[in-house]
Amino acid sequence: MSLSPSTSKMLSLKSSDGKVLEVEEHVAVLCETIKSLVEDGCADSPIPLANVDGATLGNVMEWCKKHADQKASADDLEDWDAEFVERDQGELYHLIMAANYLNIKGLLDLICQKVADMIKGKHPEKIREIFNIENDFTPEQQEQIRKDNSWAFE
Amino acid sequence: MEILSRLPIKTLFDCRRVCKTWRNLLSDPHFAELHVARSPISLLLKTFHMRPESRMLHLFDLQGANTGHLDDRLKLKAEVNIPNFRFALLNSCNGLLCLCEPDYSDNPICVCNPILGEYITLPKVKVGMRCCGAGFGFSHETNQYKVIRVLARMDAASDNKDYEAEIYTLGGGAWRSIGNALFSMWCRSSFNTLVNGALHWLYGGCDNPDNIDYIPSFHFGSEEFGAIPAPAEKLMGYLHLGVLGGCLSICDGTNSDHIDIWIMKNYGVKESWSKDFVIDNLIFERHNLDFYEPIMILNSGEILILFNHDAVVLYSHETKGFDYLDIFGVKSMFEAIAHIPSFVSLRDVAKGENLKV
Repeated sequence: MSLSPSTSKMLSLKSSDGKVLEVEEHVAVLCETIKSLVEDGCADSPIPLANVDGATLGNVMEWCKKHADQKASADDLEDWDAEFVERDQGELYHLIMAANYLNIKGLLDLICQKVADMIKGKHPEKIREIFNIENDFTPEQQEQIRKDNSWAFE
Repeated sequence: MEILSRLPIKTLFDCRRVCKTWRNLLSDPHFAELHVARSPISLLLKTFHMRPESRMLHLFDLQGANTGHLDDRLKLKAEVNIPNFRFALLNSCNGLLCLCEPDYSDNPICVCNPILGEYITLPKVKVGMRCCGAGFGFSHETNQYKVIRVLARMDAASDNKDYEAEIYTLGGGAWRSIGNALFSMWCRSSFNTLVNGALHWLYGGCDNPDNIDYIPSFHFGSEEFGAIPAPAEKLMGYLHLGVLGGCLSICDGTNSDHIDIWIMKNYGVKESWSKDFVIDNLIFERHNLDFYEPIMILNSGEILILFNHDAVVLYSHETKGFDYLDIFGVKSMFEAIAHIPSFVSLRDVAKGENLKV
């Protein structure tokens, strides 16, 4: 057994829907937001996270735990991450919001790249379909934009 | 914006057509900033200016470079993307290109964003002076884009060998003198040597009969000329200055049996010059007249090199071999530079100027 995880202090995190999660400190500090609380000595009582629901918080901490593991190799992490992002859009959306709020750059990069890959190379109609976006251009405006950019699509 | 800034240029054009909210997001200067920091470096080709088709630029996405094919390409056309005159490329910075008349004759200098199809034309040189060099850069200190040009007096009789330097800040509307230039500027077309907020050039251009002991520079923030130390080893002859992996580099092609690539690891520190690559397995197409100009180091570690102005090759340091890249549709001789396509709009960085779209 390595020393640090077993002796690591536990932190309690409280989600927006009132669920309390016990997390090892060295895992939780991957969130810059929590890290600064710990450094300021404000991390004693359950830390309230008003913008993150319990299910999402669980997912975020699962990611942090894997990435706090010193033994994980880079290849291993890459494979694990690829599997981690295989989720529906709703979950991805909540993860992005949480990663942004908790200030976890690695996770934010990962999920943003995943969503960007979903958009990449798609036509506007397809993108609207994926994200359920309403087309609010008039036909004239649409034709104008198409004309302006026509050179790019040869 | 976090998500969209990771998309390739072509998809971003599609995204502008999705809905009004997305189009507004993509026109935001903050988006342009995020995107240009992430946008992968592309390869920009321009055929030599003698040819009629030289008024077109070719932008290649390098993501597929390791497969040997560069088929993801944008054609940037005169009128639509770039001003329609017989121009030469000066340099590229944050997706903006600085263009000028080949040999700096009467025609003015232009700054353009070919992706957005916007350009502005800068006022010409005053009578009695001629422009002998110019370059474009960005001042991190003031968040401004600037063009520097060095002028000399036209009358040959005059002994006055002083050079005058002028700066044009985009959005400023006029050239302003910053006094005498410490060095003349020798900038062959198509040089790309912006590092640390400063532009660099070799005193003698490509052909240096004497040993170079320093590299002249111009810093866009402080608006001062400077001298960067050259490698301690004697360098003279056929040299090419460039930027590789974010560092100033010199490619020494003087010897016909090998080329040396020097990299300045710590900017401004003479001792940090190191001869990182010695390529001796050369292609030998024209024996000792072959011309190699490194363009950039790819993520894979391979070096992208312009070869004899008519081919782009990839050099792998591991296998010590060269691979030719397929460049569709570009047949005549060309110049090539690294360029980051961006949505940095002249509407924002040159507010109030006479913008042509």
